[in-house]
This record gives sequence, C-alpha cells and structure tokens, in this order.
Amino acid sequence: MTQSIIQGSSQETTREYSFTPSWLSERWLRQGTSILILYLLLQAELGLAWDRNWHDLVGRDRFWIPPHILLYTGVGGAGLVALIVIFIETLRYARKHDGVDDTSTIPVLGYFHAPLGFVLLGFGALTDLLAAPLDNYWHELYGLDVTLWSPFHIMGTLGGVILGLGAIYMISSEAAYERQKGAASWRILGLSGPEWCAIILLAALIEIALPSLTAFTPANIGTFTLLTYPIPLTMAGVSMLIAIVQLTRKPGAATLMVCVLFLESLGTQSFVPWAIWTTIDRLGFTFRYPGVTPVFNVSIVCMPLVFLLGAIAIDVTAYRQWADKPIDKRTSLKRISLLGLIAAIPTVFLPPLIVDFFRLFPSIGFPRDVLLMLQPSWSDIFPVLLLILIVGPVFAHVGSAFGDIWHLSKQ
Amino acid sequence: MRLSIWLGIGIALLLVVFTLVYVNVSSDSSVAKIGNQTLQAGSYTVNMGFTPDPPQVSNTLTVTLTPHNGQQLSGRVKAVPGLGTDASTITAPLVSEKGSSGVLTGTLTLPVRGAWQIVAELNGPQGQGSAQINLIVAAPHAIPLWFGWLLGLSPLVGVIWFFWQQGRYRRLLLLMKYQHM
Repeated sequence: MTQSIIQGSSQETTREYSFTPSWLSERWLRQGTSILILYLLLQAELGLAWDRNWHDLVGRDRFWIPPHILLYTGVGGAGLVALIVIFIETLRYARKHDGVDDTSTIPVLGYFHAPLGFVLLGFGALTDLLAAPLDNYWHELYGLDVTLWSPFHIMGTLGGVILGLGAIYMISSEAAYERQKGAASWRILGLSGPEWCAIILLAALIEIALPSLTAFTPANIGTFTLLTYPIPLTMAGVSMLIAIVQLTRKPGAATLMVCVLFLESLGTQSFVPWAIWTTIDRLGFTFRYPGVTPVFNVSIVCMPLVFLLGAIAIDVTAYRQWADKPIDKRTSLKRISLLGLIAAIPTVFLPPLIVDFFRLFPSIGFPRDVLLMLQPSWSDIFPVLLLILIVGPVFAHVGSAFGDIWHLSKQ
Repeated sequence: MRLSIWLGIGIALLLVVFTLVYVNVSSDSSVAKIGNQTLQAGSYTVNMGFTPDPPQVSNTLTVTLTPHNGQQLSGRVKAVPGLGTDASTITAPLVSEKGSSGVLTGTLTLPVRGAWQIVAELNGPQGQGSAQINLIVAAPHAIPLWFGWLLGLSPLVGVIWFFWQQGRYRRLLLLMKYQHM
C-alpha cells in the first residue's frame, strides 16, 4: 500500500502518522464539503445583506422575494450538505475507516457519528429553516417593519450563531489536521487552506455585525441616551480578532482578517445596490418611498478600519510572545483583557468620525439611516464607553477561549 | 444527562412543528364577509367583489370589477394599508376577462392582516374615476406572545449548554497539550 510517513514534531505527534489513501480521502471529503459549505454560507450572508436593504427600500410583499431565495437556498444547502456528510461519516465510522474514530467525531442520538462542526451546522440550519415560516407568520400578524427584537428574528439569529459556530469547528479541525501534516500541507503566506477559510469565515461573521451601526438604535434610559451600536461591533470584532490569532497561532492573522473583511464589505456593498436595481427593473417591483433608492454605502465599506488598531495590537503582542517558538509550543495569548480594551474603544469613536469624514464630500450619497443615526453628541458617547470597557475584555476572553479550542480540537 | 438533552431538543422541535401546523390550519373566523359592493368611480358604476371573501393574509386576492352597462374600461387596483397596518402600498393592473362583457380582474397579495383600503382607478370613454372600499384582512389565529418568545428563545438553552460544555472541553484540551510545558 502506498503511503507517506511523516514524523510529527509536536508532543501530540510523537507517534508516526500514516497518511494512507483512506486517511487522505477523509481529508478530501471534509475539506471539499467545508469549502462548499463556506460558499453557501457566504451566499446566505449576501442574501441577508440584500434582504435587509430590500425590506427598507422595497418592502416585504411576500415571502418568496429574491433576497429570501438567495438567503434560504444558502442556509438550506449548507444544512443538506452537512446532513449528507453526517450519513457518510456514520457509515465510515461503522466500517472503521482510517481517520474516522472517536477522536475525530462525536456521537449523535446514540447512532450517528460525525464531526462536531457538521452536527452543529445541521442544527443551525434546522433552527433557521424552522424560524423562517414562523417569522413570516409573525410579519403577517404584526407588520412588515417589526423590530429586530421579535421572537423569530431572535430564533433565526440564534440559528445563525449555531450555523457559524458549526462552520468554524468544521474548518478549524481541518486546520489542526493540516498542521499535523506539516511540510506536506501547501501554504500561502504561511497559512494553510483551512486557515484561509477560517479567516474568510470569521471576517464574514464580523461583517454581519457591521449594519448594527444603524440597526441598533440608541436606548433612552432616564435622562441619558445609551448608544447601542458599539456593543455588537465590539462583541463580534474583538472576539473574532483574538480568536483567529489563537486559532492559527500566527502573528499577522488578525490584520490579514481585517483586510479580508474590507474586501468582503466592499463586495457586499457593491452587490446590494446593483441587485436591488436589477430585480426592481426586471421583476416589476416598486420602491416604498419615492426618491429613496439604494446607494453604495461607503461608511459600511470603511467600517473595518474600526478594527485595524486592535488587530495590529493583537498581532504585535502575538509576535512578541511567539516569534522564537515553534508553532506547537505557542501557548495561549497573554494580556487578553488589555487587548480587548484596545480593540473595543475605537468601536465607540470611529464610526461617527468615518461618517463625518465622508460628509466633507457632498458627492458621496449616504443611506438615510446612516445620516439619522451616526451623529451622536459627546455626552452620548460617555455612557456607552463605560459599558464597552467591560464588554471588550469579556468578549476578548470569549474569543481567546474559543480560539484555543479551534486550535486544538480535531473533532 | 444526555437523555434529558435530547428530550429537551425533541420537545422544542415538537412545539415548533405543532405551532406551524396550528397556524396553517386555523384562521380568524371573526372577520365578516364583504360581499359584492356597488360603487361609483367617477362616471362609472361598477360592482366590486373579492375572492376569497373575506380576504386572507398572504393568499392571492382576486378583485373583480363588473361595469354596469358593459362598458370597456381599463385601469389598476391598489391596496393601501389602513390605520394601524404596518405595510406598504401594493398595485396591480386590471385586466379584461376573456369572453366576458367588460369584466376586469386584478390580483393582489396582502402581506399583513388588518385594515386595508382597496382602490380601483379606472379609465374609459368618459374619463378617469376611482372608487374605494375598506376591508379587514383575516389572518391565522395569533399564538400568545409569551409562547412566541418561548419558541423563539428555545435554541438559547442549547447554545448556553454548548458554551458551558465547551469550557470544560477547552480545559481538557489545554491540559493534554501543554501539561508538559
């Protein structure tokens, strides 16, 4: 039997790993389906961004509108692929296929065996697909513009969180196997294929939080106003920036992720106005309010700048801590609370400054909600700054903990 | 422990499925029928009827306009949200039914329950005219708000449990990996 044998250098790889054809076929199956699922989730995310703008500009005349089709085929497709992988892995587990055992799968319902990521993906997709008709029902009862905080929007969001977690577990376990392969694994900029996929996916998860700039309206508590948009930006941004460095154990990953986030944001904001104009023209829809039409949202495109300072601080800290150590000796990142603070504070100050900067150029159009929302007074900023000083470090630790798991887990 | 987790997931799924079945087979029977109404649209006298009657939310609603004296008319029909109905205006063209003497039909899908105004805008040999009628769109029975929130938040239990379980898993992984360092 043809096989290549590579001596592992880490403590966990003191035994020899045999990269048999069946073991490699398992990697092909998991990595191939991971890439397919990543594509479907990015498609769903694009559908979500389109859908949000569609609701604002066109309305919600029926369930089967084009953005819903893009969104739900992405979610449903990812769930279906996960289900197929669960069946194949169960079969392979029963046949004692090389690379499919209790260290690489978890038991489900006492009968199935599959990688944790695919199981989570299946549950996330199921949750989202159950939330969809219930959300439609809620809209029928209570109207088109019901707030984000409706029961089945929350259910859909929770499904999305489970889906996203599943996708990261799915990809990160393959990144762990690629590290095990050592020199046999191809790399670009020192990162393996699954690590690149993880960067794209985590950047996409931050991108989902960017519209919170206008979706999270200020809360009036007594005599002061609490700005809420920095909270989801901090939760998503800080946790993911630290998680990606912990996952890869490579300095530079956080800054690279901000660059990828910028590209994703640019792609989404270019696609959405084009898609709305195209479908409006071809399918005979009309805009809800005369004169309110889609525009290229330059403020959202530039929002990744908010995370740049934090990313550089995290990467510099990682470099100082890990530069002289081989990858399997790189323990968890230190000074997590401080890094959380550095990454979180710009989420309060920078969004209004970015909008103010672009308002110097009258030719740049802004969506209505951006102009309405992002003009806070300094007195509004102080209460949320205090809150962010707590949320930032807490979510830095959450990101760090998950980053450790994603670095080490092969399930 | 494991049995109780799967039992919880099973119960939550059953609740969701039962809710979906319930809201799809039941509808609010308190909404009255509209019947065939005779209206004056400028110089034209028309009968306006609806199928189904009363209109149901998210179902196709066919508006039928029958001009008196068999006049040949054209135009469009609009559904304008009434007071308290959170929706946007919907417009559809009125088309002549084949083989009928001037009968016009337009199809609308009203996405939200509650008060709506149906406006017919007509063109014909005697100029333009419009007529409107107010109606209530029926919806499936509303589930109690608390039950909606219970269903909506049910996945949160699983998420919290998963986070707790992963905290323990992380400690185990770190112990296995770095205990020698």
